[in-house]
Amino acid sequence: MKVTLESSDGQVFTVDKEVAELSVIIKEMLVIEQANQDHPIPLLNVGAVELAKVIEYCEHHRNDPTIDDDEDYDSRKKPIEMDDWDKQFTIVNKEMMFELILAANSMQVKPLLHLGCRYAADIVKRMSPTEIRDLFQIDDDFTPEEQDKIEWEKQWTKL
Amino acid sequence: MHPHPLSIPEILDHVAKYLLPKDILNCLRVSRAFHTSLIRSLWKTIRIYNDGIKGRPLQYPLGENLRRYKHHIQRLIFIDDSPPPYLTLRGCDCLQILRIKISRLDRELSSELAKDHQDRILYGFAGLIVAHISTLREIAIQLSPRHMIAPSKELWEALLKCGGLKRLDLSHISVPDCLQPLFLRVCAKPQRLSLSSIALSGWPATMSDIALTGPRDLSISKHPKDRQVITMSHSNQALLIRHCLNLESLNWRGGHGRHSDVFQSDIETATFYNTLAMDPWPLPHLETLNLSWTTVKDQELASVLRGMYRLKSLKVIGTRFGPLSLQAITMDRMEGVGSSHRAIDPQGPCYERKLCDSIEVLLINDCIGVSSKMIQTIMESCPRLTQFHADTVTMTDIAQGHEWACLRMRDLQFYLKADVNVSYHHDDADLESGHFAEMQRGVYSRLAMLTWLERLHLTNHVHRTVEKRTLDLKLKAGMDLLAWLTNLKEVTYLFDDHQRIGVDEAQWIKQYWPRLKIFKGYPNDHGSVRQQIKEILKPIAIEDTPIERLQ
Repeated sequence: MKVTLESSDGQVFTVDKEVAELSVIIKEMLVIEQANQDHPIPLLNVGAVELAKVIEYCEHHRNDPTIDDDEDYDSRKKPIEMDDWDKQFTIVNKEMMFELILAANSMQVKPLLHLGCRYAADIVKRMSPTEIRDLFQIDDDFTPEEQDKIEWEKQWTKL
Repeated sequence: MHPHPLSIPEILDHVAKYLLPKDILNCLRVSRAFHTSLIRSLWKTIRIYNDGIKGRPLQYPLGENLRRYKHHIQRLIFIDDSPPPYLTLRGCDCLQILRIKISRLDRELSSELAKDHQDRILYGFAGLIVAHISTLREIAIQLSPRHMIAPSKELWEALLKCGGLKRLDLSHISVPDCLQPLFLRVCAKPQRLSLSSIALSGWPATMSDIALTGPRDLSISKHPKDRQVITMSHSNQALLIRHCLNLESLNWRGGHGRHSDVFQSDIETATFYNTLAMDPWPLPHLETLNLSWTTVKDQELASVLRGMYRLKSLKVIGTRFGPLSLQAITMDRMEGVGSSHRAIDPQGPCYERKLCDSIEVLLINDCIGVSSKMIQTIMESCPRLTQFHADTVTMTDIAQGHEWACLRMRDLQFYLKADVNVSYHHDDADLESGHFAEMQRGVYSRLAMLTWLERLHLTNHVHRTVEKRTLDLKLKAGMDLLAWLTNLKEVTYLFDDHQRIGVDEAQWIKQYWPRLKIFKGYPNDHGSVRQQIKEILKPIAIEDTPIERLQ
């Protein structure tokens, strides 16, 4: 069965239902709107470029076992496997990857969200707080007193 | 322009999962929003670890920080260290998981001191549990194998008070007679219960009617190193299992390991299975059984299987699984039964006429009692099988047998043996005509039906040094029939040196098995062809060293 998806800029994509269902949001929508499948499903936060890329990802991973986000009882959870295809997939510019993280988050495509977050973590790891602020255009909203307090919080080892 | 992804707290939480504490500490200073999100991640798991190296700085927070952020702690893990500020913690509103392991510390202490030391820690630990009974979901207590400490009443009472406990792991603990009823009441609660090397002397007479209704998943084991440790008797282990009325999954390794010197005696095993399989069968929900590397005999396993209502997973690697067990799986249990047969409650758990109708996972590799014909029988009769590991099945038996029923197979590992003596340097013509070629195409056509297949090991891993011979992985031999197996991720044919896979095959594989990641074996004797195959299949992992041929 096919499902049609509409990006925020009005482009329509037709994909297999099982591919679209990698998105938790779409899966839930399909359950609710079973009767009304003639209209494309609107994705208001996702542009055509990103949606095409998300669909490419879902096509490749259509048969993967679903990820359980429940980490309540097993902390020995292994990190999600990243194969060569995934590595190739993440060779895009940072801006694109950040847009993809947002798209994966709003569509709730869990494996893609994890892949993107891992990518973001690898970037953040190598940076100083100032560099992180510059990259993401974040304001330093701490007062000097608060900055001191954090320095102090970092003293894990002292009684 | 969208906001940046890290401005969304949920995304930042995910990112933090891939950061080490030192990276998180660095990121705390970015902004208030970062601080608020990341401080939670930082405090989620506190792992207190003493590796015995003196002078190493402590790796956990204390003092004012601990007071301020303790409500973020979800997991608290003590390994050979349990500092008083943590044992006396109160008011950790999110604390769900608590684990303690004492093994290293007491090596330096005398026996008396070590006992005293562990007693004190466990007393504090009991207090920690009592203070968080409403949030705790998982507790693990692993004590020193050397001393087999008997924790005091306070610990058992604390555990009993945890209303929401879902998982309890206990290891190297002794339970004196007077505390046994309390111990069993604790065992009755969690859904997942794991008991490893537990010393329990008798079965309390007053508890004969007790029902341990909590455990769905029970594991009883004894580490091979614990030979000297006296644990529960085998009949008591069987009684404990029989009292877990809602049990769905049993993993039993009571008192033995892979090494022959720790195999328990036949009498003990027989006692266990005789007690476990006594009529009436008390475990209607049991459907998953793991008895791998135990000394279970064919008739003992068969007697347990006959009791079971349905069977979803059977893992009996390295056991005496044999014809009787197979018969228990394949026989129609409604056929020819008289009035004496068990009455089945229509509202009760599902009772399968044949266990082979429900089985999904079957691991019977390294079982010397399994013949090639038995493997073929299993493939003919288990329609739901998704994972199957076994030893040798011959091409002849497959070709002469019925079609396979296991069309949902995803993971198939066996040694598919070419049992016909055909020259190793045959011409391509041999692949297309003659008895062997016909049989080989027949086997390929059986495999071609398994369109869900993801992992196919054709030479298993038994008898590593012996040279093997499996299917000819040539298009002309019938490999082209496998074009529908588009889900394949892994194909191996190790220890088979006669293959003559060529460039055509490599290109075909690239086209028809797009998900393939591993293709291991010795593809061709010619170095240049091997190199070309490697180039074509890149980045698929291929092995290209021949096995050391015998002589």
